Amino acid sequence: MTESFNRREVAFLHDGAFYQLASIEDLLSEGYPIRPVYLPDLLEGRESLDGVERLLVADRLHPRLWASAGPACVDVARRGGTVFLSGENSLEAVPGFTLTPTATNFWWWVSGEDPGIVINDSSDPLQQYLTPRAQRWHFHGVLHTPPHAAILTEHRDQGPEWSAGALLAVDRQTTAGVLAVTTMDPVYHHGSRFMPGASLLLRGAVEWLAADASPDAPDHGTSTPNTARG
Amino acid sequence: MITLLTAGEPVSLRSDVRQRDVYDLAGLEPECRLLLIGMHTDQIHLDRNRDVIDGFLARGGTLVVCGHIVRPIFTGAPMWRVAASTSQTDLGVTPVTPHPVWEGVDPRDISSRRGVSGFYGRGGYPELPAGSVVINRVHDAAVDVELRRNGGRVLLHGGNDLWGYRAEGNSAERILPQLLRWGTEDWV
Repeated sequence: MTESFNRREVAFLHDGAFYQLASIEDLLSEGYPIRPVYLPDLLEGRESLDGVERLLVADRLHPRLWASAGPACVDVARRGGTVFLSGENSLEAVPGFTLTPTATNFWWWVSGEDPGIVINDSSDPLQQYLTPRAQRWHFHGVLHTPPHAAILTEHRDQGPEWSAGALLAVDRQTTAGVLAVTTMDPVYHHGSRFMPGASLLLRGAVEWLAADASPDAPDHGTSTPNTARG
Repeated sequence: MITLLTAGEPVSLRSDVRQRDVYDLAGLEPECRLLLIGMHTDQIHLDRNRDVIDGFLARGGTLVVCGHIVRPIFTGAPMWRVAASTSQTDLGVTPVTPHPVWEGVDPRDISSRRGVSGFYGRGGYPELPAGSVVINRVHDAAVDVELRRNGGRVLLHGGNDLWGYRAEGNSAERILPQLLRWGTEDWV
């Protein structure tokens, strides 16, 4: 089954985990223009990314299935589209990005310690859709990014378990399109009904994708975030 | 045979627990009598292959499902719903019916971590067939339930994997060994 996607439609790649299905249901009921793409069907040719211009890749995809689909997802950016890749997925297919897993600090907000998460004041359009709370909760790894990538959120070095690196970065140069990569896992936490910051990141990412962030879009870089939502 | 259905990431529970990828469900051995389904598994795939789990239950198997059931992964599966309140003060675990899997588990040890509630569950199964036993509640939600379905036994935990408590450092560590003992108690 292949059908063309509307201009503002966001393909949402998932593999049927309950938190992904719950997130899809929530986003659809809230009016977000997402279209679920079920990964096993994509691999078996029953779904297609042909014509997809905006793609959100859910976190925690099945490792073997994601390894098979990763290159096709990056191809969406290579042909000028915009891709948001959530965490806990291998970055093998993503050019220029490498991932270093870290311990996870779930507790800084209870203990009052500084989690070392720095939100950079970037001019990147994606960040205009994200409040500080959307970018500062926890993470499972740090990114080493291509030198030209915009680093929206990063972690300061706090020792061997907590190495320094980016937590959310956007690369607008390696491909003809846009690749946003994070080590946060918003779909899992939103769909588990667990963490308000994760829900803000998920909604913000979808709004950014749907609003048009592709480089050839007429309003690239000047689009106005829809602050009525989220 | 005990089988743990995974989402591709290996999970080592005990040497006699075999791991099977959810996408290899169709090859489930007829010898399997205790089937554990992890929270990350693909429920669309489970739903499309419902006959495998229905057949497992019809053979008298014991099925344990963690996570939130949002698709009919076996015939007559209850659907998870969020609790009426998920505020911190409402998310403690309330024991309802004593059950061998939770014997000796202090409800305080599963109600919170470092004073934060909600890890154990934030909802449960409001619509249950007659004869179902509610074991634990979170607020108004039946988070742990035992029921009969299609000739087999079913234990549902509407939260993260029960085996995730195996190194909790308190009485919650009793859950995994007691789960495996309860699930195999009538085996000879």
